[in-house]
Amino acid sequence: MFDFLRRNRFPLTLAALLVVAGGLVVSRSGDRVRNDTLGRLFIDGMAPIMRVATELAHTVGGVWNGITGVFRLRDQVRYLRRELREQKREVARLREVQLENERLRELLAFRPAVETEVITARVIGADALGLSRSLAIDRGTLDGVRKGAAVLAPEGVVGRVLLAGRHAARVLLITDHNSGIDSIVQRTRARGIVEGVLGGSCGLKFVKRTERLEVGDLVVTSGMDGIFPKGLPIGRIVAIDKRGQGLFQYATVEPTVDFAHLEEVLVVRASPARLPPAIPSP
Amino acid sequence: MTSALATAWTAVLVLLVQTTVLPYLRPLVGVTPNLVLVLAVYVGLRYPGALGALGVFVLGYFLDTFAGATLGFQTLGLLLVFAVASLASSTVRTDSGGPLMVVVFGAGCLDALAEAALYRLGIGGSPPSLAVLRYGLGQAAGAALLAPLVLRLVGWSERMLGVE
Repeated sequence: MFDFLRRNRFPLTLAALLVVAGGLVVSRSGDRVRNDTLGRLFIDGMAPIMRVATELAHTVGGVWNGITGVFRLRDQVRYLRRELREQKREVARLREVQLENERLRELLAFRPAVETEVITARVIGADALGLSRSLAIDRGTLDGVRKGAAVLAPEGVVGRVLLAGRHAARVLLITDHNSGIDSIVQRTRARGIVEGVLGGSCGLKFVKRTERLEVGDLVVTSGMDGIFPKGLPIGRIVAIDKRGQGLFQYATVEPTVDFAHLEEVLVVRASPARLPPAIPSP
Repeated sequence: MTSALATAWTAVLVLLVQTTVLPYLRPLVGVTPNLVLVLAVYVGLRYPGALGALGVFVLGYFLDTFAGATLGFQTLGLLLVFAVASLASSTVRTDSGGPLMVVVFGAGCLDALAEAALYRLGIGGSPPSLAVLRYGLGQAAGAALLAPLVLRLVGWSERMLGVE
């Protein structure tokens, strides 16, 4: 018996490792978060090196962007001036809405929403192979980052923590095909699920065909999944597909966050159950 | 033994490059070349044994930490690649870049097929298999182009450790 094992050490080891790897794939394929010790060790060990590499990349990228940016600047100034005029009008309108909202809240004796506790983290790396969409951040469990925690940017939802080491963590972006967020269309309040698709955008699924979606509609978090606060922007609808015969329609959503230029993110620290709504529902 | 140490040292360098530098290539060339795949092929051709298999398992696990969402995905793919390279080890020489490039491209295609098949089975999400396959083939081509570089890196590591 011992002789047999010794003679066939290679094929047996290979077969055993293939079974272990296959077992990992099958047993972990549905997991939304990861908690493997070896993975945490790897990510902690790599965090300082990735931080230095990111600094270098930013320096090189900064020089290149400086050169090419001059040519884009003129058009952007024109665009931004126009945008500013529109935004000023919008701010004036929203100020009115805010005042009205405050009055109504007082009237209904609403409990004031506590500030969501967040941690600022720097992006120190992207997905190593690029098919999936993820990034590495320089904060871990020692800073209060939990696996599964929501990750945000000022422009909207970024994703959630997939694996948290002590000093670093990996975030699965909303554009990854394993991602799914319970969401609503802000204008119509139609509910659906935003999922990542290959190519870096998202798709809004499971919206009833009877709902009237329009290109440009903002899709926000519903707050129903207990992970993301309610009302955070996810993206805008850029195309609607009603060609199928099913009960639902499909919309392509362009994320509000520019993942290619993301440098800092906010990780929500409070437990999902305590999260207040980010924007009150109208 | 020293040459195995040199390969292990090269693996550390390759993993550093894969997780820090190569992701920045994606916006420029459309894919992130998989250098770890090149190393898995090299290990399969040069060290077709239990130790090589264990080494590739660790490589795959490391890659799983920094790529994708499903644990074991890359590990399984790299072990399959290693197994095929091990079978070819008696006929393919590892001391020149040309044959290695061909084997790496073939192994990359196999890896892409395995990945697309897993997705097709609903394991690890449900992206369109064709898109996964297309990306995987691009990645295999990128890895094949960079294969001589990995071979040089191994040679450099061997010289550094004094391997004849």
